[in-house]
Amino acid sequence: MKLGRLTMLGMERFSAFLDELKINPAAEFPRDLLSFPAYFETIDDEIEVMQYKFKTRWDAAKYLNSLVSSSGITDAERDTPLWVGLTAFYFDVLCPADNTGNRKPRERAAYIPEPENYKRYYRHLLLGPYLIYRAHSDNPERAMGLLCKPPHVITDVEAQIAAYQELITNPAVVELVTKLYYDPKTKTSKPGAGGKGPGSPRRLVTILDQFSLTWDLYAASTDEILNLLPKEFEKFAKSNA
Amino acid sequence: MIRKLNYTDRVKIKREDVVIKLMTNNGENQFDANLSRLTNYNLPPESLVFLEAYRLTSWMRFDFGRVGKIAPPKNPHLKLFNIPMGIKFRVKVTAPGDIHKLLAEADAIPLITPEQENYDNAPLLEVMPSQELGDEIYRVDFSEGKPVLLINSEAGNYKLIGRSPAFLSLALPAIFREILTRILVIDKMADDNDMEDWRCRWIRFAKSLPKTDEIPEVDDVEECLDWIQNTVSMFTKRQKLMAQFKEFWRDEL
Repeated sequence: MKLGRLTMLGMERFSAFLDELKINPAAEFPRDLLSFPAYFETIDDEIEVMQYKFKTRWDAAKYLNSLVSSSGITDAERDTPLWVGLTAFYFDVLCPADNTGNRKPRERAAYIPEPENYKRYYRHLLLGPYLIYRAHSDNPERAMGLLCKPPHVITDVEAQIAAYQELITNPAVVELVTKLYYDPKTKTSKPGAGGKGPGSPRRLVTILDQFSLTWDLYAASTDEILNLLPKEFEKFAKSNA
Repeated sequence: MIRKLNYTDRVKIKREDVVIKLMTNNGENQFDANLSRLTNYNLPPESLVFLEAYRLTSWMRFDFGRVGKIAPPKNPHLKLFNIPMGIKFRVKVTAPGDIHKLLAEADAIPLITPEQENYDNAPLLEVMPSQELGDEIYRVDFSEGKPVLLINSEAGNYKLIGRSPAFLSLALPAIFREILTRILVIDKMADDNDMEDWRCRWIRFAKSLPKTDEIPEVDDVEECLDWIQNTVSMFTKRQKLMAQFKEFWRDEL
């Protein structure tokens, strides 16, 4: 597919497909969505979007970041028709069908982004990882703890951190999250990272929120924040050793 | 709701005490921040001042020197933001040294564009006379794409009615509640970035009221209704509507 975006008609067609999918999980994807000129318009004839089977959200974000950078699109984060076009192109990756051909669609925001809503933007399966990757483009591995799962899976770690602007933009916090909850050996989340109990990402957000009332967390290093955390986080911190 | 404890007597800087305007220089989006009112907060003069610009996952930090000697950055270029729409700012005042203790903060400060300065001078709610309200004294009409307060001209001079303590104290909270309910619950809109949109201007107004919390998720109707109730209460307090009502009520006795 050439890099492009859905037209208004294309957006309506895609939206109707999502509605249909709720009633009929085996509904056939409208293949003409990306070829029929009334539904899709090309932005740049020279940029080919490749049909990669991304293993992780990080892989998808890395590719999308290079794609957007090379396109010269100036306001990509708010370009909803662009992201819906890409979502349609990668729909089999973002909403995979099971052996019987049925799909289990997530909430609408997973496929049609809400870039104006800072509490929901990250729920889009492509825009979310792209924005997180871009925010940490000086050292993207820092965000691995958030983006290590397959493209259609948003972990609790990512959901908790990305919903807080002060946390997701803070390099020290994002590095801390990767340090605590990502296992570089298995290249996935550590066991227990998805829980709600002591040491969980939810607890971390609650504690960092309280810390942010007392300290300027942007001026703190990862280790400084780590040293402030209560003992309940030791089990995750120590499992790095 | 999770309670946040302010153990360190952190000072809350009022948003209206920080004015940040958009400037354009050789096609670059820059800002001009007036932080001179920080001196009113009795903060130690050697405290450090930072200004942070943010939108979604984009974030920039600018060093503004010290409270006692505000020094704007030489290059206030908002280079991470291709367009200025939706950029918010945060001011932080921290203790000098390595512990980064936060002394004062203001968050969600809007960037004022030249167009917004014009809009800020326009009334939020237009008031018009109407002869089509029957026995209704007033109605909030949304048919023109924005709320218009219609006052029954059969009841008397609509301008005098609209200014009277009786009308203001009884009708204004209901009008405010109806408009916020339309925006948050019916239109499911919580954005305040586009000042050409009447709903954004109302949200911005609501958020400017003291002690107003963050707007909850618009899908959570109960939370939104609670937020609206709280905001209306703040509005009535600021407008001193009880005093106006008592004045009118005593006159009637």
